[in-house]
Amino acid sequence: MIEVRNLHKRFDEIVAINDISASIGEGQVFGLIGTNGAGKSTLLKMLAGILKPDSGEILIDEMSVFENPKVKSELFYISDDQFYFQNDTPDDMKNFYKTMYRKFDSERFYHLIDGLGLDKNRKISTFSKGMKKQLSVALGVAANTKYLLCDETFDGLDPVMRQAVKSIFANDIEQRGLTPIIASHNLRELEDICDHVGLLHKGGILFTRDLEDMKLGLHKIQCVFAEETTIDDLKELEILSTKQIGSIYTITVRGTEEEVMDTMRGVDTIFFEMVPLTLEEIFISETEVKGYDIKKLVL
Amino acid sequence: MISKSLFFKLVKEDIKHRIWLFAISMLSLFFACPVAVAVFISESNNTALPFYMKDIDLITFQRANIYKLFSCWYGIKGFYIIFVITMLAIIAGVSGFAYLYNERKTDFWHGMPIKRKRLFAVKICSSVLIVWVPYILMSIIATAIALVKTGRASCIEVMLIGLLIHFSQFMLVYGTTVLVIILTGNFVGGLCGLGMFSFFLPAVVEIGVLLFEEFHTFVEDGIKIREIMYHVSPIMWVFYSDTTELSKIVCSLFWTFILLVAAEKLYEKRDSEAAGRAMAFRITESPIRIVSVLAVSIVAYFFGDRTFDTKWGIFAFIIGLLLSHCIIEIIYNSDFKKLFNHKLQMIICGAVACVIIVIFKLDIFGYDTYRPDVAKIDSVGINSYILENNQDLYNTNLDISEDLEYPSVYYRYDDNIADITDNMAITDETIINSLPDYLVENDCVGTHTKAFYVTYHMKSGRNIRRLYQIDEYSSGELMTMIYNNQDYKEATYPILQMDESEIVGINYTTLTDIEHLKCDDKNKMRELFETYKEEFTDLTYETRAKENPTLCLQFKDKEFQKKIDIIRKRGGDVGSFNTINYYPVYPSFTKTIALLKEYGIDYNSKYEIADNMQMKIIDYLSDSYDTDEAGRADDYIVTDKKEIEEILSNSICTSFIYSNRINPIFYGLEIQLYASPAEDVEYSDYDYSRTAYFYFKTDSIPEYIKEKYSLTDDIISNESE
Repeated sequence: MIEVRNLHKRFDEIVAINDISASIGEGQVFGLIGTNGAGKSTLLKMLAGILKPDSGEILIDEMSVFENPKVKSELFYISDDQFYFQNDTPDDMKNFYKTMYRKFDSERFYHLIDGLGLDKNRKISTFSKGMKKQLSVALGVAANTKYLLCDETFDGLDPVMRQAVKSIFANDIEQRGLTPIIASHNLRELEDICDHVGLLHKGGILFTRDLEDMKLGLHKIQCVFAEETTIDDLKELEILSTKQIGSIYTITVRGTEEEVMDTMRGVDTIFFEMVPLTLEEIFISETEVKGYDIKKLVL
Repeated sequence: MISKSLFFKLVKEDIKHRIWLFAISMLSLFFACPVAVAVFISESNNTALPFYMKDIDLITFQRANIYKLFSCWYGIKGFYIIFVITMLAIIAGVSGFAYLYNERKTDFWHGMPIKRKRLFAVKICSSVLIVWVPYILMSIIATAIALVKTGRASCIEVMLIGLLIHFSQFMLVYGTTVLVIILTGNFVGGLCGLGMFSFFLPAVVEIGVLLFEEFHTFVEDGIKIREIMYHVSPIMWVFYSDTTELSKIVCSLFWTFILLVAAEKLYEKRDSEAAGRAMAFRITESPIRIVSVLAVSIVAYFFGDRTFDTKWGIFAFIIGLLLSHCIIEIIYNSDFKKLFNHKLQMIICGAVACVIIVIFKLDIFGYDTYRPDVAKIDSVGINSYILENNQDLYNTNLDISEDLEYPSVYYRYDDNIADITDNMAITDETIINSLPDYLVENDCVGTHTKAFYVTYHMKSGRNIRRLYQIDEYSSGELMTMIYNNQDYKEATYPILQMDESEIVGINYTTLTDIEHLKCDDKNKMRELFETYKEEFTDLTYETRAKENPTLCLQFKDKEFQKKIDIIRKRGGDVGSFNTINYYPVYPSFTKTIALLKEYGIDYNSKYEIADNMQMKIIDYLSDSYDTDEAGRADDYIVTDKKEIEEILSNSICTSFIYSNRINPIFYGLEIQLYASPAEDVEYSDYDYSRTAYFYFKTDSIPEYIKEKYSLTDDIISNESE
């Protein structure tokens, strides 16, 4: 369990993190969303014990993380531009991490890089950006830590690899209760992996929410109204947005599924169906309520 | 959590990632140790036995030579090894902690489950191993070679002591480098930091001494004060400090401990985000900027003022102030546009620097014009070229080099004038009462001014030292009183402190020869010594103004003779002993002259002119004056014996070991007297052993010479000293 309380961090004049409080439960996949400069990397580095908060506290399994090797041995931080020693091969890096992380699983590491198609004896400096990312994920997963802090890890991975990495995460979440905390500026990247998200903006956290909870209260309906029916007949629903293409309406509404279905059944439609909401749409709805334009916050 | 075994695994990992440094250490130390020793051996094998070495064979000499070179190479002053070790220490420090200059690398290391304290220890341990394993290995090889070639087991001792010294020096430089890296955040900052640690405090000492020396009547011994700079900088300490091996080892290790503890504590406090910034701790920025701007602007003024004039000094001051402040701001912010940040601080620094300069330049605190209350003066100590211009004869010792195997002689100048004046106690009330006013009122800058050092010994026990510039020819009465004072003489001339029972030999030198006085009777030698001492003690300023000595005596005491014997026994050159401790015999020293006669030494107050001697007068004025207008003659060759005698009677011999400079000498014309036949004159210019050099006394240049060379009073005055 990670608990962040009233966290503050300044870099000279710039406030990077401003009074953030959040908690991340074990076994969750926590997505940290925000534009560039929102404070995602800073928050992750503080969670990894790299940066010291100016004030506030970070408790991981009820222990402070900064300068605490015991806690840090349960964390693996993958930066957006992971450092590798010059001239080292994946095997050399494995040896280094094995020294640092006692639970490092060499077998698993070899298995992973095999699966990802990486040569363990090739110099990392000759790897592409994506290959380096894959290697960092392999090292991070093989380190067998409880928490995996990923900063823009999916950025630079091709869709196939992205899916591969997601499935590796999914496997470890299921097998040993890994808790990945994934920071990204791209909502679509986290779409099908996160079950809990936090939206960061200008160093502050706008909200953290369980994705399923969010989805439960929001619904997207596609329908074609009968001749005498208009959208105004859906007064009982809290309509958040409406799109019309020809006679087809796409309406986002807030409420329980039953309420929405009952209301839709009560009006004269040629056809209607509930369609799944994208993460982006969920965020649009959530942030609009708070007075923000999501398109200015994230992609 | 990290266990001990993990610690060593990390050390191994770190060494693995800095294997290039291991290779550099191996290579550089391979050349600095075994190869260097092989070169000594090769050189020594080609050395022939010196002709004066009669007691030993060539092999023994060569072996001793190899041992001597090996000892020097590994010794406290072995420059090359110290240089290599220093460079390796800096590289090891930088390569170990340079990750702190890179955000990515800092995040990587600080994200690891290891305490910074442990990481710091890992880096230190691996750095030491990377350099010292190769060094010990190479030293063992070098020592083994030396051992085989010299057959001396003491080579091992030399190596072990050398290793200890070099280890302490390595650690000192390494500790400094690590501290600098932890205090800074990028390479520019690190470079400036290393420069600051190495040279800033020595520069401050130098600036202080220069300010005092140039703008004040300052008599503290600049050389001694400058020695402080060897103790305030690790680099200066390693290379220049003159101390014992034990002291060097202990002090170096002590400071290493302080530096590393400070570095470790700061490392724990250092923010990871400091990577990339010039200074890792913002709090250090202002103090460094302030002291740097102050130092640079003062030095700039000093440079302009001394090189040109005050106006250029002010110009240089403004440029120095602006440049130093702006460059530091650019470095701090990595942004050219921020060059005028902290303008107010720059203005305040400029104002403070101005105040410091004005204090020294205008003598705001009255340091120069200070006249102690004569009622509170207990005694005074005085030293000046005006009173005695042969100080090098009496304040110089010849010492034997530390290596007693093949001793050589080196000069040790006892030129600490402050010590001489501190140890002198003239209690004459007339001198005490008139000296402070006289010195302050006559302090001036001019062609004929000479340094005049004084220490006022106050009744309170305090010593007040001052330095004045006094015209050497306008201070007759007071100078006479001082010179004739016995307290002055006793503290100035070591001969007056010598014990007659210590006298074991006497040498003498005339204008042409240096000889040993042949006398085995110690009582007679002592009689001569006592007689001379008595007459020398009674020598007055007035006598010196009237007479010129043509013979000098050197009284050798047991200590002096012992040194000569050591050098002679070992086959060294004892000629250097004939250049010091000679005391003049003036023509009025009649008792001494009479005793000398008993030994067959005739005292000639004049230079003896043989029939075939020639003289040449060389005109040095043509360099300074327009020769055509003055219409001066070419070099003038004199062959007439009477004319030579007349010229010599009006001149002073500068080839003679002792020079009586109470009267001014005209340096415009050089008189060369050749002990050669006429036809050899052309060549004898180069034969210094057969040529004596003279100059006219300023007040007795013959009229015909003045006419011949168109010497006006102005020219004579300008060219006289």
